[in-house]
Amino acid sequence: MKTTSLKNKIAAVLLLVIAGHAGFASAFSMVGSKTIIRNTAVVTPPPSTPPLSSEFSHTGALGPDAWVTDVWTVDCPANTVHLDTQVNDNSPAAAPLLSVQAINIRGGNENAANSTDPSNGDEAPSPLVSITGSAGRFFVLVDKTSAGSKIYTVNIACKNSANEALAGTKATLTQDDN
Amino acid sequence: MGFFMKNTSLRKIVVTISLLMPIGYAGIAKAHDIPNRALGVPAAATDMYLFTCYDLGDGSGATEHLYLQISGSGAGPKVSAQVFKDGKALNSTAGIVVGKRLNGGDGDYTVTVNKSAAGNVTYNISFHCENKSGGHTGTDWRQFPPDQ
Repeated sequence: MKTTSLKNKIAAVLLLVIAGHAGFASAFSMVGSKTIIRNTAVVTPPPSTPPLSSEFSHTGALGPDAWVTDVWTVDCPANTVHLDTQVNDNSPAAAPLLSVQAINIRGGNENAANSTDPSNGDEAPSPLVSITGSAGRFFVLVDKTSAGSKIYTVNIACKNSANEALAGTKATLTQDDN
Repeated sequence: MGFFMKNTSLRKIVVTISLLMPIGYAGIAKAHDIPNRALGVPAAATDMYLFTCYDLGDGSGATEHLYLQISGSGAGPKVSAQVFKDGKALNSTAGIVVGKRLNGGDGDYTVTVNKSAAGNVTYNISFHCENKSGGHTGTDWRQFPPDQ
């Protein structure tokens, strides 16, 4: 009797620990809308694309002219099958809107995607977008819809077929239009 | 009377030439156009083009830059184009002309077209490769699939 009771108690404690851990992870998820982040009591389904950790984050600035564009040259390691990116507008001014484009110009696999941050000065980045490719060179551009200075954080990660960000991702700011 | 007749004919010739000259000039100066292109609903939708600039060998010389202007229609998301060559890039959002700010010379320019939010848009691109004086040089283009 005593043994059975002890077993039940241990099982109950284990279940509570697991439930508590799941709640913690949900509350600090970085992906999803602002509503999801604020409403920590709601258990949301896991995102299809995991968030990018800080080692894949880079900061930059754009000068006032409307046409200025930062170019990040990205070298992806072996096992890369796609490159993901998103941008966060850290500026106090709402206008203009800030966008990021990922492009692969390598022959036979040319493709590109765009992501625009709909709001400024918050912690919610633009949607994560993905382009296909393999180990080698990609480019990520950051620009804006009209005149006005901007500061930003851009997340860039080369990923494998398991959608894991690869530590060998090397992103360098090669055109700095601040 | 004869002189008047001659003078009238001369006037007609001058007027005709005057009318024809601007038409001819407009024909020379007219940009290439990619009209009525569309981007679908997804916010990430991006069309991708390749513009190739080259020396025609007719004395107009080598290309200095790619002139490009994009315009969107309707009150939907803002349409933008990015011109990229040899690691250099610049952006053009509806109406801003891309020209001498990116002097890429002869060769291949990659152009991407996208928009600021989800929603259907249509757009036009006006473009031509130009030498230092603004004269036309050889210009070819093609779109990479898929058309988004």
